[in-house]
Amino acid sequence: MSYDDVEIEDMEWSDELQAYTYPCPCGDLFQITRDELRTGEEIARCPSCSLYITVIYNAEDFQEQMSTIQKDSTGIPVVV
Amino acid sequence: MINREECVDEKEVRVWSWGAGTYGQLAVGSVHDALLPQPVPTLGHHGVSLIACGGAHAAAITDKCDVVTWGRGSGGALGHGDIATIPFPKIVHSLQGKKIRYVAAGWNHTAFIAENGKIFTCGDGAFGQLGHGDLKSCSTPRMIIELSLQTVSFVACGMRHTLALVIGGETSTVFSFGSSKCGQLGIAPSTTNVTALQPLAKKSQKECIPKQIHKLIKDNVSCIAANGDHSAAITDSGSLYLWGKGYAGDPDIFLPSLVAGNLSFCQVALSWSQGLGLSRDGELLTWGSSKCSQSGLESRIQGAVSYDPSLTNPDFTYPEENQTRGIINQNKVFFIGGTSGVNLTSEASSHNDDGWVRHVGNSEEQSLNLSCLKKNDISLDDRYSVNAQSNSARPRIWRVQGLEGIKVVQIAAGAEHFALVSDFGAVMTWGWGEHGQLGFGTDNDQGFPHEVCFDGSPNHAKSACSIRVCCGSGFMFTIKEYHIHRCLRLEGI
Repeated sequence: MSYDDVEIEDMEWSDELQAYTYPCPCGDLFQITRDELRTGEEIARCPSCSLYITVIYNAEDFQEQMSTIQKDSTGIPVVV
Repeated sequence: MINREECVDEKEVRVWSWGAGTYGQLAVGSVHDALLPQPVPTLGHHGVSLIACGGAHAAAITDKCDVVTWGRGSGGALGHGDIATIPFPKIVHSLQGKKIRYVAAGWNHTAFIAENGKIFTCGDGAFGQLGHGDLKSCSTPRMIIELSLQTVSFVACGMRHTLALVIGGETSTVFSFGSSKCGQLGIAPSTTNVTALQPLAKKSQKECIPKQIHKLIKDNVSCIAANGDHSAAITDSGSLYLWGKGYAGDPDIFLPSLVAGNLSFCQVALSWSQGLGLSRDGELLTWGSSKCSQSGLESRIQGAVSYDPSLTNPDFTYPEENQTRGIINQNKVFFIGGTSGVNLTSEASSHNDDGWVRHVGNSEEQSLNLSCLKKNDISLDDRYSVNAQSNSARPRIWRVQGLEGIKVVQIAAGAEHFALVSDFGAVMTWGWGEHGQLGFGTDNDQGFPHEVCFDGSPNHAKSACSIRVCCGSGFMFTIKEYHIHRCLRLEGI
């Protein structure tokens, strides 16, 4: 069972982990990457324990962002 | 030949840690979990009197009023001027000479109070929880200018917010800053005092400057607590206020809300999903429910408490005494008395020697059922009659069971586990145990308080004259202070 439902705006982006994070009761961080969000994943897991949270977000936000990134990095528009 | 004896009284401090250790938060130099209490000699040598534990870091006050910190350093929570993680206690040089007398630790920030009442903070400031007027992190403790004219007595740190208590003469003031998303600051969402400089802070529900909690202005608050997105305060007269994230799925509480009017509290400890209150009668009460339910903790925890509807439901009326007896004799609970908030059906229940009926029936509706009636002594419960003018956002209050004959003297809460010290010097823990934070040598959860063994013996504790438990998110510390009377026989002519 999910430990909590957390809105994406309550999560913090970590440059170091390249993931959105949220505090886990064990002291580590629940983590979910942009790629995972783009594929519709809604579970953010903690690398240190069995707990996980359900991330509440608008999938479209990340699909648009990803297509922008791909255009920027390759120079060729990619349909996502 | 003269024989004489010289005697001295010495203080010896011993410290143990256990639980999650991935970030070195156990202070023993390693980055591994510990399932059993392990001695932390360096903290003993420092003669620490108070340890504040956060998400994965901790701070302690030494016998010289210096501060040592250790654990995860991200955001600068350790105050050493960098963001390094260190698995052993290190003195915070910038606070040396300031005579620190109190510390508190949040998820990733730390607050220190100097002898002169000045308050310093460091660590993650992304939510305004450092109170410096911005959303910047700070790796060296910095004084909160906004509170520099105040003499701060206590501070409490939650996941992303901070409470500061100023006790002066006959009045007290509670200040709050940080994330206000779930109401944890206890101030009504403001629409008028937003300046052009703070559009970001307003948009994201953050207060980066200490604000006074007006709701508590008429109460003499003597004790504050914060953890997760929850906050609490106890007044001189023992009233308990709760605010912040709603418990057990209830709506968030944006203004301090009075709990069970006639109960008198002396201590409060908050986890991320439950609260623990110690009444002046030595009774341990709890509210909320654990969210670590995939481990079966929720049902076991709820099995460990009994619910008294009159604690929180102003409309609740107890049945007539003779009817109550009739119910007990039949070993069943039927609905008696009128109330809108209590859904009562006939339920199988059992009762025990202490007179409380314990619910053993349908667990889904458990919290709604009349599962707890005091046998033969209805008048005893008059002290729980509820102040009718209090608002309806209060959680249900339960009694923690399994503590018959045990007087509780101190309580502490981690993110999902709890600890207490009894008057006999026993340290007991319960709750979520996946990282060994209960100290029983396993990763099992525990629904009831159980005694922790130190050095293989539970009785070892009894020789200590003072014992204190301190909980971090997934780990904890115990400090035991021993007074040793040493005598030296001197021989001379």
